[in-house]
Amino acid sequence: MLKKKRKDRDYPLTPRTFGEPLLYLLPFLLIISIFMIYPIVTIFSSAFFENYDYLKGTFTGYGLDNFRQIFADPTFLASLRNTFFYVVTVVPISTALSLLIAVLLNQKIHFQAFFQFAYFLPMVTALIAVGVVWKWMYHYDYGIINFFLSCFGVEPVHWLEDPNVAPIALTIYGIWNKLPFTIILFLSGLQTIDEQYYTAARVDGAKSGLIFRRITLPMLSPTIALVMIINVINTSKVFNEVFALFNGKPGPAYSLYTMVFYIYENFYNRWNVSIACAAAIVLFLIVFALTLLQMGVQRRWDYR
Amino acid sequence: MKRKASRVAIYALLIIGALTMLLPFYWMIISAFKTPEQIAQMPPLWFPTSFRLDNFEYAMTYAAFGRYIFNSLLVTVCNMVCTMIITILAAFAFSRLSFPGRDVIFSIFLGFMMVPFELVAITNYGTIVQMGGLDSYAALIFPYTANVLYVYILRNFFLGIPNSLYHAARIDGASNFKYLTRIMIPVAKPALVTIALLNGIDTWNSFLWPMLIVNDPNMRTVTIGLTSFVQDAGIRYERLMAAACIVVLPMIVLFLFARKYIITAMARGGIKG
Amino acid sequence: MAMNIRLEHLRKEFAGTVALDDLSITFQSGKLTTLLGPSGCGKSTLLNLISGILPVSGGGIFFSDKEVTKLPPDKRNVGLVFQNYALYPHMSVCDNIAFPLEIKKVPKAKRRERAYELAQLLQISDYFERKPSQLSGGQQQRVAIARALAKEPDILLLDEPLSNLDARLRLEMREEIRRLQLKTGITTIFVTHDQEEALSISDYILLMRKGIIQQYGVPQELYDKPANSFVADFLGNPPINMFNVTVEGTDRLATEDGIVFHYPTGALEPGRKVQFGVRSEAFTVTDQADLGTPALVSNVFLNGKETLYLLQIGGQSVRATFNGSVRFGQGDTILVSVGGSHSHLFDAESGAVL
Repeated sequence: MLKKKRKDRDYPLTPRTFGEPLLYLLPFLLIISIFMIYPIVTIFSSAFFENYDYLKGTFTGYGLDNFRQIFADPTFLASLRNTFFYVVTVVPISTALSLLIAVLLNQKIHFQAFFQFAYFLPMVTALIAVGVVWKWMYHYDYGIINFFLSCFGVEPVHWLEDPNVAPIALTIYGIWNKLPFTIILFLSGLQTIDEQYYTAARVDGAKSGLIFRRITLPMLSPTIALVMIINVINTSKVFNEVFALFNGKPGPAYSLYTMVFYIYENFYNRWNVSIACAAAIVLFLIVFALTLLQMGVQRRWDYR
Repeated sequence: MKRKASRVAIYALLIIGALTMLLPFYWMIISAFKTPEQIAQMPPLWFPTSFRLDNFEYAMTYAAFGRYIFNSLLVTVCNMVCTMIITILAAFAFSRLSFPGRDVIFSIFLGFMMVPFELVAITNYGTIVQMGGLDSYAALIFPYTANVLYVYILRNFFLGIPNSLYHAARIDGASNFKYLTRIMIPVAKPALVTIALLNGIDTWNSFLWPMLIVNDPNMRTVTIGLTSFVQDAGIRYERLMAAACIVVLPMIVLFLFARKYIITAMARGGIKG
Repeated sequence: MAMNIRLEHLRKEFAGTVALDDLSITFQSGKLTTLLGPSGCGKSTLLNLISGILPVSGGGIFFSDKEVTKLPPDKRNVGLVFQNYALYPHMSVCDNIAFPLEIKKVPKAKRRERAYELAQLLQISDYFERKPSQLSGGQQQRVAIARALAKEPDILLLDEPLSNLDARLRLEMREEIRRLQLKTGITTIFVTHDQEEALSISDYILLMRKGIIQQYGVPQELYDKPANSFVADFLGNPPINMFNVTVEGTDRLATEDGIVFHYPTGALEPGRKVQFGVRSEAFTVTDQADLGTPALVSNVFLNGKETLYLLQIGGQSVRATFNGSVRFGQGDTILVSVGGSHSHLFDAESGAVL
């Protein structure tokens, strides 16, 4: 045992200096300093600038003014609410649906290739393009969604024009969008469960419902937790979906601001850089907390 | 009997689900073939009466989608080449070479993965403006060629390659660089395919970054071309769907041919991404 | 022109622990020397220092007159065969063997030709275009050896090359390595923990323990004249029998439970406690009651060419093989005496031979 360990140890053949490694790292460091480290520093500093003029680069001092401003801004609070609504509707529903589909796909079924194609295709297609398609499907007069509803005698709905319905339209598109990725994660989680447990349970005469509740679900619970956290992180950054469905605007009558949309709007269209940066830090802190949670879950998963 | 019934139920559920997932794509494709009269028909026409290409022609000529495809292809390919080079070199340094604080430095970079892309993109827009790089291919290609996730995936793969292979190559007379190009890169082909696919799909579909950078119609990528087409051609949905087809179909074709690779790649990249 | 290898005051530390200290030795040119010892004795470390995979902490390494201490592995012109072969998985047998030549920028046709010659020498030319994964363990090992020889190294190093092979292949490859070494006349260092392998293959054996040289010499010398009890114990199968005895006059040794061996003790002072090492073949059956030691036959193992007897002498189990046609059964009591040449007395404390 001891010997094996010694053999596997990483023997450096070159002296431990920065010389040669730096050559290999140079392009990476160059790009990441300009387009990752510098922006992070900028965001964190300009969020605390007071009366910042982006074009002139002047500011009067440091402080929490920007944070006070955004939390007093009804639009920002609305963006928090809208993002929250999107997250708490999309994540649980897509998780539940994905789990069902993944369990079904994990059976020995025919036409695997077809099902994989159908369920995973939205992963590779541009959100923005598919969003335009959904916009067409939500069309009040000629969209197929209203057509399907009319088959059941339901009155047509102003999916994208009614501020009360628009969040639901966004959620449905979001669920459709998140399904493939979630199914993939569940499938790889399911494949780590040893076939033996199922065989043993079947020999014991357990019915499939019981097998699901007593074996699959408990053994998959770390994956479920992980998937949900990842999806919460991803969905809290919702932007492209809104942009595509509502023609580049944050919903009907500007009712559907999300956090990223709020940041984008303040930075790109209004040049309120410090406000955008303060909002960005709020978003970053949320994502940061969730990521810590994710790493905690993952660590426990790894050591199982 | 009961078993058979449950089998039927499973297939029924799966098929309904699959059709729901495919519906937007089907709807997009058939709409793209319709005439202005057919598009407004209720109940809708489920099969196109002819495969007329007028809408595609319109998109290609009046909206210059030919130019957009060229831009997107150029950006995707150049970005992929640069990303691969940068990723390979960095992953090699972080796995095979040794320098003081190597692993600590790497975990700091791993922390960067937490920073949402959207936030960085907005600030980077300012940087590009200062550099005078708006409406340039360079601005579309270079800023996102250093990706920590890809370095992480490849580094893990490199670490799995036995040390003895490295020692053997060094004894056989190879330098570090020769070892990287002749041994490590060929052995790491699966991981490299993963990264290339993730990166390629990502760049082709990227939207926020090109939207910030591009004003000049000649510099539009397909996704930007599509959104500006939406502004211009607003209610002509048959034309819009043809344009959407142009953006989406290359990825559908890619997915048809490389389905297994892409699914593996997505699962691998997913846990972190 | 084969080179010798000279190590001068070699020292190696791993994060504060000393693996080798002040090691000086010369390995003969054109000979096969085995580094032998139990796990963790420093033999692989020593090999890696010679190959340049590990940097030294002190001292010097010389190949004939050339100092290589600070040279990286690619500048030392050594060939190394790894325990797990370390073949490049994506390359054919041909490309694997030719890789060192490719690095040296030998033209393609020429290096193919050379690779083919080596493949023929190692009897793997039938698999020339295959990938390593399509070969058996023994074939992979042959490729690894061919690759190590391809660049015509000054020195060939083999790091436990046979330990991943099954027993039969191991015997075959052992002979193969010996044949090649004799044919090429290359200075070869062979690392193993298998004493039988070492005895059969080597010109010289360097036996190590905890980073310290125990004995260096030709195999027969180590077997016949062990420098200490560790060497005596490590070499030989069945292992040597060890008794803790007290010297009782010039020709008597007594164990703690009162068993007496008649054995010349030379000038050792009576009453001194020593270790008495007796190889299985040193026992002979005697009928002289006053010179023999009584032993109970507790088990008999037929071993093909010879018979191994498990004897009970006092409270100790002893393995013995007898010459000639003596035959005993289980439960017989016999008298044995110990002959001179394969038995030794060692100091009880230091283990040094007396």
